[in-house]
Amino acid sequence: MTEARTNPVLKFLDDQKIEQIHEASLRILQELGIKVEDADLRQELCNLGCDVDGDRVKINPDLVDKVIANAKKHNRFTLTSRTGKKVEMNPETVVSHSSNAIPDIIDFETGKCRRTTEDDLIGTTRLMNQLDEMDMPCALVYPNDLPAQTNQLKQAELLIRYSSKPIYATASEPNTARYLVELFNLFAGTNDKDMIGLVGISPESPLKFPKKITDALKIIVSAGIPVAMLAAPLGGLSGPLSIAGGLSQVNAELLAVAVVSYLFNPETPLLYGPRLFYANMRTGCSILGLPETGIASAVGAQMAAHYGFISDLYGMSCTSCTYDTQSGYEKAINCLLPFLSGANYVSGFGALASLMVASYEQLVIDNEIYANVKKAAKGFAVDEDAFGFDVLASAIKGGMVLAHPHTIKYLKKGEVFIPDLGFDAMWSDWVKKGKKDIQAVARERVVELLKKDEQELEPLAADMDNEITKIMEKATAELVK
Amino acid sequence: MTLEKIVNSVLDADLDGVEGLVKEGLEAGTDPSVLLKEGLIKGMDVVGDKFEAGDLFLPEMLAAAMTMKAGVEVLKPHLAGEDSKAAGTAIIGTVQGDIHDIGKNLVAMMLEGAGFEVADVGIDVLPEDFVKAVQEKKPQVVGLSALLTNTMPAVKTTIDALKEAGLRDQVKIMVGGAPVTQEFADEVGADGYATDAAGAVNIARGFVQA
Repeated sequence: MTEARTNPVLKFLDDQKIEQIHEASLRILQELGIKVEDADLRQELCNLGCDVDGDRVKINPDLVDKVIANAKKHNRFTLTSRTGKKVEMNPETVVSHSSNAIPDIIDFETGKCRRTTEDDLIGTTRLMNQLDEMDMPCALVYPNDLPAQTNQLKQAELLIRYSSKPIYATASEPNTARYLVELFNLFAGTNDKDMIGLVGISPESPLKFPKKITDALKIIVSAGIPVAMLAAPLGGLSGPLSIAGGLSQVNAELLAVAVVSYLFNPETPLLYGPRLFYANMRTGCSILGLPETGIASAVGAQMAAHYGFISDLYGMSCTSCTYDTQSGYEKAINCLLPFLSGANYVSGFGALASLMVASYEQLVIDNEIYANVKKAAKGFAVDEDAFGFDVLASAIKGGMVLAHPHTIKYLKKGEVFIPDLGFDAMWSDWVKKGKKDIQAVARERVVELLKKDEQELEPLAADMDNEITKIMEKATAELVK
Repeated sequence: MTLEKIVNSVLDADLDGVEGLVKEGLEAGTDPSVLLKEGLIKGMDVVGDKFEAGDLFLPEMLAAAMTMKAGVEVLKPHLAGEDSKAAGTAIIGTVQGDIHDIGKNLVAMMLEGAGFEVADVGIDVLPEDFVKAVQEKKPQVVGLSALLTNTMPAVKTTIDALKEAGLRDQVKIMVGGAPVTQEFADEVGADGYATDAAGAVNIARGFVQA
């Protein structure tokens, strides 16, 4: 559910340092520029006032300022699912989404890791329907049994068919983008022009815009579909290892995407998705559970707020490959830091092993971690009523605090967190209930929730079903050779 | 003394100093083969041991390898026969549809550091271009990289293209990339798979020594 976000309680960097990062990014854009593969796009950017030097486009600060000022005017929108569920997106709300296109999954029956399939995508999407903290699913897994050429499109189609919530699609080339627009257009305008979802698009780091990415961006942005700009430099490998260096780079890359998007359609809402991450420096393999992922996301939230963008951040990422203490602390730290810093859109549901392995149980566990983090960042009232003077006054006269109206009122208001999945009793209760760990409890919940979704998910209307099928058949005929 | 300094220059990744030290050794009349084996390679062996022990990290290892390479460049014209031969030959590229190059570049650099002659054929490489590269360069090892789940099928397409061109048996193929697994490598008929760049070098070494 969309919730108003409380004011950030953590300022990882003070305003002066945020401004320094901004200045460092402007220098990158002005002096180094972006490699833009598409010559026509380079010309269009030149017409907009950029300097073109070979295949690099150097962007001046005035244009960046203009683009930021414009983006601020388009940072509030509502997404509506095919079943009518709404998600409000603006700089004052916080919503969640899942990880995306994970290639392997821990099989729910056997517990073994295997390649993901279409059935996994459907199953995990249906499970996410039932997770109350999950606002918008991405295609959690990559359906390996479907053709590569239409895979991203198929992911979106299955999300539309099986999700009761608005969706988060992705496009990394123009063919997918074209057909995504057709799918999205089936729903646009049916509900005050709300879109059914948004689309995430990533340029390359360092400072590279391949033609197929900018072509995809052009199609999506021109159609007015909100775009999550996702730049993901890998510290020490495709950008500086220093955190400040990585932040200035990722910021420059995102501002450059905003400039290009402005050119295509200045009214399309843009999300600011800094996905700076780090590697194991002994192997070079990227690992997502380091605390720097959370630190970079926390500052990312601050940068987004500085500009007036909606932030889209990593959130519950981990390196751990199983349901252990490590996955718990990694996910909690990496979600809590950006949350406290005013994150708007938080990812990470359902992933283990640095976004390489998905899990049904982990989706349910992440729902609980997210709920804990959200509560931790929520804050509390400090006023006359909250001081509860009357409770104390009554208590010293022998009154019962537990049954006091004030206690009941604050209990109902959610002053104290009540775990939904996590264990919240005593040792003897735990023993009595079979000494179950969180995975065992999550397994039971998965079965229960999937059964519930079988009963609850509204089927797609027949006419809509036909339209979607037609689009997919057309796409398959054109793209799958 | 110069030999010790050369060893240390590799250990310290003294890219500016190594060329001068090698030249100094040559001018002093030291056998180029000794400068190579007792200086540069010895230095790199120490670096390799420290890396294996976890005392050095990848950036330090790569910087040392680049230093050794700079030293070898100075020595090359003076080396004869076996000493001037590469440890092996490899081509490496990211498969069709995939524009990611970090992992591929890392493996290429590490292979070069290990003495391989490497032809990097780039990113988004069509199967037919891999075929052409194998025909032209005649490598012992072919490295195929895929970072995206939706470009992994192109690994198989590339291996199939090499088969169709009758080149499959002439090369050893290793595959890698974040979503790639040993099962996938087996499925597509690759000869080797590694989770990281250092592992890839070990596999390539094994291929050429076999």
